[in-house]
Amino acid sequence: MTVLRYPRATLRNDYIRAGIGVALCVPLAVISRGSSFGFWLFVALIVLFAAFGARTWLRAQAEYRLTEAGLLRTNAAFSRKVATGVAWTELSGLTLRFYPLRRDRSDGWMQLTVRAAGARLSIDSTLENFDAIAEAALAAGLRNDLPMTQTTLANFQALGFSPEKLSDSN
Amino acid sequence: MLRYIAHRLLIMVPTLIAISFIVFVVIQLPPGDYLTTLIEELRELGEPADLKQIEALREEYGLDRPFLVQYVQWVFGLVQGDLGYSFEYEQPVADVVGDRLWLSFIVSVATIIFTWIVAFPIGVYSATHQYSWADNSLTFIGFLGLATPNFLLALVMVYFANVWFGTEIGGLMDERYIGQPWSWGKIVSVLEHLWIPVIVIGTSGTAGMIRRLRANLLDELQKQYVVTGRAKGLPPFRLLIRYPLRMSLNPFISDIGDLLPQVISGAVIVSVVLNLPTTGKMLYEALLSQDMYLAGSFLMFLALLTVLGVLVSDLALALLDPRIRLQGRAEK
Repeated sequence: MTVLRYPRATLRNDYIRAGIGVALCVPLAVISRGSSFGFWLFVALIVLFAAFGARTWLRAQAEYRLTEAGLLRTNAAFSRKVATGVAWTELSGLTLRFYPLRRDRSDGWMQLTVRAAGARLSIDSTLENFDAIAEAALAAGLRNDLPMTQTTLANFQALGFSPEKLSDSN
Repeated sequence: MLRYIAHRLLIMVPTLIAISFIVFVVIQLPPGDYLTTLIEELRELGEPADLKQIEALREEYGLDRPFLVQYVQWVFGLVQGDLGYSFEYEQPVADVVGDRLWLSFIVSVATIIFTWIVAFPIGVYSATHQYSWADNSLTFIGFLGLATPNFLLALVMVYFANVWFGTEIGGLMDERYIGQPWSWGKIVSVLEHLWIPVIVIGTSGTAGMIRRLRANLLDELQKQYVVTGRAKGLPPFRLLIRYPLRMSLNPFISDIGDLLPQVISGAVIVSVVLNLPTTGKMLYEALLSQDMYLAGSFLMFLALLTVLGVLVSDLALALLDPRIRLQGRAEK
């Protein structure tokens, strides 16, 4: 079993982004109180950046456990630890999306979403040992004969995982 | 997606702040200010300029204050919805702009819809019937459209409308509706006049879009997954719609960012030729007369459209085509 977390550097950068966003929009909202549209626009942006900060905090508290049986997320943010798990044998949905930071798509991050029996886990490629989770999810998807989009398959190939090879090894 | 939206918005806000500073620097770049230009114009006309009154006006409008103070005041005003004061028209910019901003928006949106409605089927037909006589004819017309400047097309249409039909095609509504509040008759009149500027402004964009959609779709049609789909017996139309066409839509989506400001700024000369009551002509005149707050408001409006367009197209692209480029690098 491997215990995985989001790296501190990534979380710190996201906290900084959320902080800068709120710090930029609060004075703009205060200044624009004369204009109702501008005011509500900046309030919406403040809420969005605050939500992003809150989600980053939740991520900082989360731990992922990768086992042969599946993937489990526990979150220590709440008084009682909240756990969400996806068993590979019950895997019913698998998508791998890429979020580009540049127009030429040469930089960005991936987001893997796995679903099973009402549970849904979404993890970014910034998570430690993301490749191992992606490989295990793809292998489970192929075992379960899950339909996958061209985009998901192309993204797995970009990570270096060929569905053909994995299905042969299964 | 939340992380992506936060990333994109965080780029957008400082970008707009930087653009606002550059815009203010640019509109201040010519030597002197609006009042200096006014004095020169009065001198050329042989009329005496009341220097005391000019100085009083300079103080009133804050033109004697340091550059940074003027900039901060301008930005504060913009955020509060106060676009400043037009020296030329001696009215607040918001009042001067009035309907023009809406009319520009209507012309721009109609042009974009025209561009997409015409370019989409022609581009698809050209790609799926490559080198047929229809493809060659459409390609020829497309090149003609690309090579013809908008203002030239406007002049040609004005000339032939006058010679052949004995009618004026300028303006965006009948004269009796100019300056009048919006009414059903005014809307109908705008719709009746709208098709000419839409065709004139949209022709080159349509031709460009056809070329790009054709090229993109041809690339996609030759890829392995299309061959596989055909080999598996997928009906050709269903295969086309579900896979290659979807991938070829990327230029349409990524163009949203550039289209709106291009249509508005590119239509400046057309609006002069066709006598359109849009923002283009007013921006041109404001820049000439150094009416800094009027020109600055227009330029910021164009910048805002560009930045918003890029944001919308980036979000749409991330939703519709979340593929990595094979040489790409995912963040770790």
